[in-house]
Amino acid sequence: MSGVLHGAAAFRSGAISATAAVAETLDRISRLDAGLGCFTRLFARQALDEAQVQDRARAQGRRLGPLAGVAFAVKDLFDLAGVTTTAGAASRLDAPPAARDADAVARMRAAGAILVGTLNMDEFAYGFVTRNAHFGTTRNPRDQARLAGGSSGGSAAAVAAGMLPVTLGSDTNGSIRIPAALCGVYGLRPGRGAVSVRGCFPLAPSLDTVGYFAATAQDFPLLFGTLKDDGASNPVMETPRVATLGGWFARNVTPDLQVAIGRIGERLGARGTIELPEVERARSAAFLITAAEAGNLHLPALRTRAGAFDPETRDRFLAGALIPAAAILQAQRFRRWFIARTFEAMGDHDILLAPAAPGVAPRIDDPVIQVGGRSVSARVQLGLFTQPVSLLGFPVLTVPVAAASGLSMGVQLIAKPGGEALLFRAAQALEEDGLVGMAPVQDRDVHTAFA
Amino acid sequence: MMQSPSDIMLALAEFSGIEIPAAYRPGVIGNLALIQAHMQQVMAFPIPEDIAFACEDRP
Repeated sequence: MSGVLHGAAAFRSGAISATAAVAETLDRISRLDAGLGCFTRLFARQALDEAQVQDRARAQGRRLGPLAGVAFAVKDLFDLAGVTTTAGAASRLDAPPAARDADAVARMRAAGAILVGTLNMDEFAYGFVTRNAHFGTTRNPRDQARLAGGSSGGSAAAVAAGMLPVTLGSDTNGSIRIPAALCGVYGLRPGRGAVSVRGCFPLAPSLDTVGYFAATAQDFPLLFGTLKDDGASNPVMETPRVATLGGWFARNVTPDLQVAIGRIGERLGARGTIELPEVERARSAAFLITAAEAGNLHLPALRTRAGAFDPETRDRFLAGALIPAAAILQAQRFRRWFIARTFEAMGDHDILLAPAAPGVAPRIDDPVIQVGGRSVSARVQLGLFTQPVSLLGFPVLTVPVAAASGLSMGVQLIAKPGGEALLFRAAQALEEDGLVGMAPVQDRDVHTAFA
Repeated sequence: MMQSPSDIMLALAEFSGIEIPAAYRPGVIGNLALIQAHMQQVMAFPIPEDIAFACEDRP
């Protein structure tokens, strides 16, 4: 699968028509998705119609958007005009259709990108595994016996399998960064407020962000330029000062991921290790804020239609709705303290390096990870290294690195607010040197027998 | 008799008009135990008085 820039250039130059590009995409999806479970809905007819309109526009010499001829899909929590937003929940299948596109979708379409479908996720985005009671489990294209990660698992797996060059997702506590790591693709959680979340079904509004997955680091500036709010991110031209995060972020990490982080640090000229204060407490604060905001959001539906929820999600929401106000006030105050102390700890450093997940994707039939020598639930605990960073609201780009096993792992590149462009430049340099990158998945290795 | 933290939270839920059906209680109590551990982490931290509450923090 070529990237967004490549696909857009091929269309503009006439090397391929939009109709042929979309037809090729749909064909690939039809061949591979039965074994992966990435898609929840396909809009084949509409996508082909839109592609024909673009082909005619090009033939007439009309101006085309920078993403014309490029197919994309979205996590099933983005509003699409005329379509019901399921948020991965059976309880929302009969909800009224959205009146208009989510802002991020509208911006992609305005730039010429062609929507082909919606992608699987954990119910209401509350999980790290993409095991959905109604829509099924999304399997990891690198090993279908393993989890894709979540909650934007369908979005990550679709890019990893080469079905699409770009997909949209959301990240509250790691829902872009974790599946990006486990599926072996790039995933951006922009800084809070950089990309509009309007029209996205919320999980925890004070932590939610909208971001995207892509196959190559080269595509990130164009995509961010398309999606960002006016004024977000300032390009920085100087060489970034880099440090590796130690302490909490150096424990429970597999040896090959530690080596990968070391190599990335060396290439970026990392100047030692920084320890952030109270990281474990930051994770707890993010956990409580998420649980309380999500629980409160869903309480009306839980009162009337609790039986329609996935039992695991239902029980988590109900428990979250019972968290005392004192704990939430304290967690939000701690959040301000943690942000201030992190700025101090970063000093003049521009980028911090940290693992995105402890190692490779857990097996579907044994969905656990090792933390402190104990096996714990991947669904709840995979956010070990992403949750504390969510509390900061800083921009984070997960870059994929290969594990010795052939599976994938991920490293978080974390910048200060407005530092997205710095992250893109660093990732491009790493990709050019072959230290990070999306390894292609061979079609013959994707088995439909898993359907 | 001393009640467990989960019992107290469930009683408070009832007080607030949030009904937890008996069939859901084991799952909810399991999650409350996890929440309790995180609450203890957060509540034990001495935050300076000049750090005020703000729910829509952007760094």
